[in-house]
Amino acid sequence: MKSVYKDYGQVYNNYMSKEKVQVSPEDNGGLYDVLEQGARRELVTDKMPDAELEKLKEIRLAAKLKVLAELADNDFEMREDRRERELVV
Amino acid sequence: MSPEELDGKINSLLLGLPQELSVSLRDRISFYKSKSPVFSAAEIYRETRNLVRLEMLAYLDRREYLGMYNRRWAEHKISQYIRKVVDNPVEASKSLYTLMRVNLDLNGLKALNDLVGHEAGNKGLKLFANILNFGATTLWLRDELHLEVTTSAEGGDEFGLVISGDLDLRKHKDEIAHKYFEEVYAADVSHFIDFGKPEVREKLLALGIADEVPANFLFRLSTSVGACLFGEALDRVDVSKHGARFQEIVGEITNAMFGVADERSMANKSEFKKKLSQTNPVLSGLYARMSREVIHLERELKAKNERIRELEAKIKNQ
Repeated sequence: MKSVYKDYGQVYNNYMSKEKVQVSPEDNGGLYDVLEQGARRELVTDKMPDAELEKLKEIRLAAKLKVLAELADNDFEMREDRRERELVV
Repeated sequence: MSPEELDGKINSLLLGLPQELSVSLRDRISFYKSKSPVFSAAEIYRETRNLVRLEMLAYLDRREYLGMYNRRWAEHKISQYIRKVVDNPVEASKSLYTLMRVNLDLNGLKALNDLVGHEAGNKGLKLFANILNFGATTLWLRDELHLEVTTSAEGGDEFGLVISGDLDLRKHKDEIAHKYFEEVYAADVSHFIDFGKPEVREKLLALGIADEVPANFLFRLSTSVGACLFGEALDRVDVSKHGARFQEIVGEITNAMFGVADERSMANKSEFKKKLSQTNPVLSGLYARMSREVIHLERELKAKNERIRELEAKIKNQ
């Protein structure tokens, strides 16, 4: 799980530095909240333009899908489900 | 029937069934197979078919005349979709907006039940179910947009759809909602209530709205629609909760899809009712006033307003 969190944080940070989005500690509360484990970040502001927000949302959702895929890999029922689908195919 | 043929036929019977169901059926089939030659391949196939029919009853709405799945099946379809998404990480981000849950509330059912009886109410429900199952909008989704549409009845006047396919549904969300609304509102249901009938007039009188509803009034059903895309629900769910299991998160995403679609249909309902009070005040009154509580509150409000006017007139005269 840790690797996924790290990926998410990394992707987010890369995006922020590439797009030169400056975030001072004072703005932090207004711009975004860094939530638990230092990786899951939620935007809580309307300061950013819509296109920027949409990009960040995409990154957030892609990371969530990664976490979900990892959870699925570790899930017994999901493995059973995959086995079932293989049998049908 | 050869063992290979039997396996092929059984696989096609189990295709798309909920995982817990197909796993338990496979266990039973294995048991029958282990008793060969007591059971022939044809008998095993027949037994499997009967078991599938029986087990599927748990996923059908109890009102047989509607011919619809229930909420449990709709949840299964969403869960099935999410499982496919996580199995195909390359396509995953494209899948965020190709699954949509639609919530549809039928407006006017209470008026049918209270003014004519439950038989009329059931006719209204059947008509609505037919529109969702085989109506023009559903055919458009299936045949023109090549989407998979699963319909479900979820108790009382609440219905739902799970729509999925290769299209980005963000572009079609509003159009889909609009088309379903228009199709239901345009359906001719005037024969469901004859407002000229003495027994109907009597009931309107008892409700205190006989003066407002003309004998030749044409009744209409309508629907309030709300939709939620997979990506919108995923955005609301915390997938990285400590110790969370995959099934649990899938359940939360499913619930979020149902919840958001429901919230949106409620918001659309109040907006529609506001508009309806302008465009068709009699129908609006019928929808609203079939609730005794509303009638009582309205009478109270009317009395209070009259009292205010009296007092204002007194003050002016002094």
